[in-house]
Amino acid sequence: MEPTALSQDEAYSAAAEQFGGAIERLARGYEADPDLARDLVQDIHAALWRSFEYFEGQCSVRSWVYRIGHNVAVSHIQASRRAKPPALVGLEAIAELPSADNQAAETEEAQLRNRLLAMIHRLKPADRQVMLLYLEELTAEEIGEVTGLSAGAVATRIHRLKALLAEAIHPEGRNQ
Amino acid sequence: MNPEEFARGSWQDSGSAAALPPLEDLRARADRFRRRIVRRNWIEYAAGIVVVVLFAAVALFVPLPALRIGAALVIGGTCVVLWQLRRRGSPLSPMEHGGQLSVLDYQRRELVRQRDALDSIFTWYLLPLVPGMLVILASPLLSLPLAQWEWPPVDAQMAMAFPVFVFVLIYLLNKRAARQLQQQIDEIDALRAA
Repeated sequence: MEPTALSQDEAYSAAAEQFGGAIERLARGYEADPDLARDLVQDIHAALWRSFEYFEGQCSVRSWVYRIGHNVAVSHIQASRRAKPPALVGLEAIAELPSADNQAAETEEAQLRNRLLAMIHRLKPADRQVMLLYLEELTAEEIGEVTGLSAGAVATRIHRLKALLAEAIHPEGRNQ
Repeated sequence: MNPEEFARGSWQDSGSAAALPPLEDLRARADRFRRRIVRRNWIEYAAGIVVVVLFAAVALFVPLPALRIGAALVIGGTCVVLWQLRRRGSPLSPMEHGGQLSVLDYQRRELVRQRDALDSIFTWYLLPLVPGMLVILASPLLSLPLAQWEWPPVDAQMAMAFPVFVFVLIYLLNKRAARQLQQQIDEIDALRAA
């Protein structure tokens, strides 16, 4: 029996169910303001729903969802940047994970998460995309498919961010 | 657990999906986006239509033949500009193209579209309007017999030079913007080639 093609609504619902959490995290990785991040999540969902009109299996659903998410988010930050340009740096220029506010009241894991998020917000777009996709456990090949970076450029960035994470997260600290 | 696994686990535990937005809300939001594009296109056309109507009035009712010819040429030039705006297309839409293109391809294609439009501003935006503008500027002379032509007084020369200055300024600013976009395109190419 031929498998029936999913309708646009069904395809969107399945993808949103599977990647809803990743979309929320992606939005927070791009937008520090919680209200604007929520708005960005809605924009990504709207674009994703509409995009399934055009989905014909050009790539995996996973790559499709992340491409939509990052393309919408990049447009979002470009619009914000026109209003207020931020100071962004590359992975090679970040020496360590920055400190977050209110550390005393947070658990170690929450502190790490906030420092990670603070660092992500300071990264240049291409580095930020690799970092977010790496944290979502996409393979280097998938990261290249979503970002358009060459395999070599992805490998270099993953190498740098692994070193950065290794320096920031000490095993003895984790087990306390 | 190595540091990367710890960071990934911590990151992925940091947020689960809130309730999915209702499909009706998504349709409304997506439609709002489309309506914004349609509205922007209409604003461009409306501006062109205003120019056409104003110069049509000049072409029909002003007694100076040179001015009427100039106005008709401006109308023709405006039609060419409107046609070029339509031919050059709208910006990429994340909804339609966002899934089909990688992030860098999407950005590059949009930057190239903008660069090409700015870089060729003279041929598709300024040049079609130049003949009409020149005829209108010269209409006081063109309305006189050749024997009565005189070099216009300084204030009239200044008034005639002003639109030329505006055209040159538009051209230079657009060229500079095109060069800035080219730098961004080069950066993307360097990232893709690295």
